[in-house]
Amino acid sequence: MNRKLFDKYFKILPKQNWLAEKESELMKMVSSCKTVDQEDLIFSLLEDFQYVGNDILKRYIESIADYIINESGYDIEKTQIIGMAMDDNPDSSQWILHQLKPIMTKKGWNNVKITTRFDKAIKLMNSEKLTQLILVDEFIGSGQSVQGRINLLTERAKQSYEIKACFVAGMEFGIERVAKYFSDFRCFIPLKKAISEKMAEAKREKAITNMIALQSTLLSEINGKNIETFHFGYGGAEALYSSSGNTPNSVFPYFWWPYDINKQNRNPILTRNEDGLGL
Amino acid sequence: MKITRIDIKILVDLYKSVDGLIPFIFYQRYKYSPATVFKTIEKHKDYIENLNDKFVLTNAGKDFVEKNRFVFGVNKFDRIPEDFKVQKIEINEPYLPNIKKLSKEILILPK
Repeated sequence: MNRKLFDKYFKILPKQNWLAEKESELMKMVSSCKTVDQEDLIFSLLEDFQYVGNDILKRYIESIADYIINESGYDIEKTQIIGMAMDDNPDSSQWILHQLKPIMTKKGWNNVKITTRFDKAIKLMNSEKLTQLILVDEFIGSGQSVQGRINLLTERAKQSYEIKACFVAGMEFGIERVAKYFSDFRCFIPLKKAISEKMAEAKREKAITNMIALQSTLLSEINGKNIETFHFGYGGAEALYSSSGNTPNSVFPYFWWPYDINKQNRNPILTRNEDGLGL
Repeated sequence: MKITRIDIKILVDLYKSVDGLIPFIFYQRYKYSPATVFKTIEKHKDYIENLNDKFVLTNAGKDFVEKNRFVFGVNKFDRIPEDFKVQKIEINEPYLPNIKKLSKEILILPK
């Protein structure tokens, strides 16, 4: 390793502490770059990355609790905090809601109703008159899933209701897409598309070419899942966000796709569990 | 806080350097990776500071290296730890020797 490369690795660490524990993964990823431009793209994207460690996540969950109790204007008797899940597959909203539980208790809202499954929440709303809904999750990407839930809610609601949302992080374009369905949409870490919205115009085109080249070194299909579905992140989200939980599919797949074109495990810096995405 | 061998190497090298070291030096000398050097520097924030991309020891850092005897001078007796020192005695002042360490010629024990 020469001094230039050493300095690139070293200089990113003060801002991205989490990478100190992922050094071998990072080095493997960087060494698979074919040009210095590609290397620099990876470093500049990582520089911009929002990684939420467990301590900071806990603080955001505290903020969710504060929002619900103090800012939403909701009444504990009518409030229903709801997750995004629609089946038995564990998801990030359940992860967040489970951590939210003791915090709600600590802040005096022990008896608030929390429902992890969205479809069940609608049933409860209809039967128990829990009509002040607040949707909670870790991350909103393109907004497609949220749109789906809203469609279901409008279809099945037999009551008038009010719905607000509180997310830890999310893509601004996804939030814009669905915000109109909510009387308030709170997101603590709003993100722009990393290349097409955030990067200076002069650098954009080259960055896109380089990212396409990097993505082309990944295995294009795994058990019928095509990488094109996740091109630049699901829905083209170009997200640079993760917590210690499951990395969102909105993130550039180069950071989490498990296999390279030779079907070798890449041991990437981020990990995403996705149905079927294993050889 | 646990001090590792790597911490000591880095602290001592910084102690001996005249005007600080760039982190790459530790890779050249010992093959320490960027994250390895970073973790030591993070751990000892009070002892190491960054001056124009060079790392130097703070006064607290120098004290820390000296107090822990990570560095030895030319004469090792210059650095006797406090725990082993007793009150200094005057020339010709009587003292009680350690009997086991006296030579048998001097020590004539009654039979």
